[in-house]
Amino acid sequence: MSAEQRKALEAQTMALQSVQSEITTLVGNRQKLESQLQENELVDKEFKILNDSARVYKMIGPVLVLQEKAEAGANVEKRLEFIRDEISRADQRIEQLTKDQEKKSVEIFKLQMELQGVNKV
Amino acid sequence: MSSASTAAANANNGKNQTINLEDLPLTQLQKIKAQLEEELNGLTGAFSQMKQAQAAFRECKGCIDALTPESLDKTIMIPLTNSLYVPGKLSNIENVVVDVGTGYYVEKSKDDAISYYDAKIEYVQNNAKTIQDTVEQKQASYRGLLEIMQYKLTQQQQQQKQQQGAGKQAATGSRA
Repeated sequence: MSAEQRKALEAQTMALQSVQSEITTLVGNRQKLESQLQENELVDKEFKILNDSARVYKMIGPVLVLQEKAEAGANVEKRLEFIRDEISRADQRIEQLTKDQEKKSVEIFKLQMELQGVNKV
Repeated sequence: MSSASTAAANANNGKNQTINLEDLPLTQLQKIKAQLEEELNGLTGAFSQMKQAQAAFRECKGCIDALTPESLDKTIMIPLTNSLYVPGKLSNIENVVVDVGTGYYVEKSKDDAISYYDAKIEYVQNNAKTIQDTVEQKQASYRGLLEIMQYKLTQQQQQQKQQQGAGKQAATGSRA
């Protein structure tokens, strides 16, 4: 067996591991974003059915501050937009990395086969 | 060798969701088993969280019910921190301020607040039900997987025995 092939296999395995760990963190982030999205959607829904004269407070530190309902609603909507953007960005990245991962696994598999072939002869 | 070639075939069919479990090698099945276990753990965790959330909403509802006309003007202790209280007087039993999430609080009448919490409780209940259904489904496939693994394991053992028997008769050539 050639040392070169071994090195290549090692390098590829390391690369695969780093891709995999990045995917794991991204998926975790994506889940967090999803729960944020859900919470904000619930708040948005609540604001939509609220009377325009309803008193809305915002928690700033330990105090509740009275806020215009329209302003609060616009805020939440903006946040929703932002979170959706973030989610689609995470999705794209995950998709890309998954493809990367597949490619790397195939390469590693090929290298392993080659090494095994060399071993046998 | 045979397990490696099936793995390659599997990588090619990776997009195909309807792979027959019986065709997969044991190592692959073990991975699926671990994955299923993880999913089941996560789902049961989510289920208990749902139950906790529901209990919290029920408690809120109970507190609103405690705001009866008789309790008006009664002295209460208001917690400033976990360990510091100041005396206060209950001057308003009509309106409450409800946490609607993400740092926003809305002033609601008692009836509105109760219907808000009822809706929340139902929402959480529906989620819990969905989770429960998924858990049951996953558990069924988990059991199926275990059965297949058991079957494969006995099959493999039998094959090994046969191979050992054949190996004694023809010691060479089996590796090719």
